Amino acid sequence: MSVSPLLDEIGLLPPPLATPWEDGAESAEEEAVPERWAAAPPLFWYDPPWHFVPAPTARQIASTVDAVGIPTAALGCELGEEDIGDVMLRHSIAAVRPDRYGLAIGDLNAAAVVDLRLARSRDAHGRFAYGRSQLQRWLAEPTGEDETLDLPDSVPAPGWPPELTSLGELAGKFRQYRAFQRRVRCAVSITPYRIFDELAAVLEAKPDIVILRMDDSDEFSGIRLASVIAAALDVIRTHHRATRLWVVPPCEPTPDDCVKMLALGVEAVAVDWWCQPLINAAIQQGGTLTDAPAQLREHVLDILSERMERMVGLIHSCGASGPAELRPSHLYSPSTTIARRLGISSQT
Amino acid sequence: MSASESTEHPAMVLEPWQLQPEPLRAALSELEPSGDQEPKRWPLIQAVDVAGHHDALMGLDHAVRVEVAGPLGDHACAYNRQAEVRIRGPVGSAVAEGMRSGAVRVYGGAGHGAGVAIRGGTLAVYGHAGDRCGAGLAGGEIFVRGNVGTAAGVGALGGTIVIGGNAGPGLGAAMSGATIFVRGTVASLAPDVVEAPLRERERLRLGLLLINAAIRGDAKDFRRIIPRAMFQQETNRPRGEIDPSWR
Repeated sequence: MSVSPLLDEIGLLPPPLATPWEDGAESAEEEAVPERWAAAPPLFWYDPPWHFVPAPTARQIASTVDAVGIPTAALGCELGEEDIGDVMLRHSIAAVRPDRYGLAIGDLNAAAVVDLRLARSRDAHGRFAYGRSQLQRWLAEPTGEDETLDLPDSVPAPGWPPELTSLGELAGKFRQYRAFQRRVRCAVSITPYRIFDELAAVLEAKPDIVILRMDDSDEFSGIRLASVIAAALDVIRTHHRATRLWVVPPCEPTPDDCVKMLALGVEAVAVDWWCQPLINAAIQQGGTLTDAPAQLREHVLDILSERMERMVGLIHSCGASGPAELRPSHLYSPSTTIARRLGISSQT
Repeated sequence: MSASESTEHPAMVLEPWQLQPEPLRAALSELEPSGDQEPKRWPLIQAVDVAGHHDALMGLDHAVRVEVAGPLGDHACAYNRQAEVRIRGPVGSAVAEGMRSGAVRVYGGAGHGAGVAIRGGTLAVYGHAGDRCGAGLAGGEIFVRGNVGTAAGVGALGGTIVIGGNAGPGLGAAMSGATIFVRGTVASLAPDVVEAPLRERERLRLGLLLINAAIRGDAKDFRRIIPRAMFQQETNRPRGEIDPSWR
């Protein structure tokens, strides 16, 4: 595992010298990692490429990651299920793209989070578009019947719901989703561009979560990434303090990056790169997983536990008992300019 | 309302608070199952004093007929299956969003995004419809007796849109697989769609669809708009006028 850190210009501030000897080094073996998190881990799987593997395999993977407590984006059609609540009992994210290809009422009824995706996806050619295999999965019937539509190689991906004429109408969509399910958390995915205008307008609709999607924004790394997160949080505090910020980083985060983002004020970080090996393993096995459910869960834990264990350790080393207790004051930068900009501690 | 329906005693009368998905499901669960009866024999339900409500009658999945005195707000009848709903009055945006089967008939105008992401069933608007009508359509049929705004059928993958009046600019933008029939003028076609000849089989099919939607008119008055790729496929692989699998 040799991943370049995203936020190596800021560090985690250790406790002061006079801190007494604490019982903070419990063995990693004592408890399974998911049970170490009081609530669900502050991680999520934002955009799993379910169409890369057959629906039954996707279903196996999704339900196992769900059992670990990581919210995972999936539609029933992507898993070959009419009612996604039968597969993912606790943590599914219903991705509501403006086109709504594949979205069914079962997704809206069962999801923990409904995410209105105003940030578009690119296809392999760099276009804002969906490929044929993706469309086939979205339009396949849960019964497994063959799709009868003559689908093109590619369809442009929209970035705006056709029924809306302005951001001012977003609140109506959230009202609709809450009518299906009172306790659902309503999210909006946006890009990190124009956040002072667009994020402020989005917040007028009082979303529960804003997902800052930066997996298409390679230029945001290091201090730029921290700065855009800090700026987004400033806008949120100004316009609707109750909204939580989730972040899809520009590339694979290390556990240290995740903890630093949590300390900046982020509620959850996307770890698609950590989960992708599950899809890759299935592809290498010809699309099917030979593991029994228990073995698959072990495999998922193998992939995630080392990183999640390090996150637990880092959070405790800051003197916090959980991610909710992390604060920007747990971070530091040797540069007073950067420290001031991010509202974190300075070494001096 | 037809004479027979106006004298029919409703099996249930819905209050405004019962229009939301959860109470609606609870209310309808008390109805006797209708079995394999014809739609015209399904239990009749009336909704009263519901004018202006948003998110009304969403997620219906019952073999029932529903009569509503509108107007209704946004998202009326979204994600419905089976049910036959008649709304007497205009509706807001995204009427019948994501419908899978059944029918929604609006005796009035519809706002933007009417019939967005429909996968099956019938939406009939007996007035005008706003912009992006039938966006993301992937099955079923949409009928608009009057005019539609900009970009009708944008991103449609399948299904049929019938426009009795005029269409605004960008008709059929990013459309693949769907067919649009339009009777009036078209402000402009999107770049990748073309007007194709109305062949005998489409004329017959459209005629049946018009009868089904209770829209007066002769199929030959309509023009057929399809994606350029579909037209090229038709041109390259001519099929006989009589084709038993055309429907």
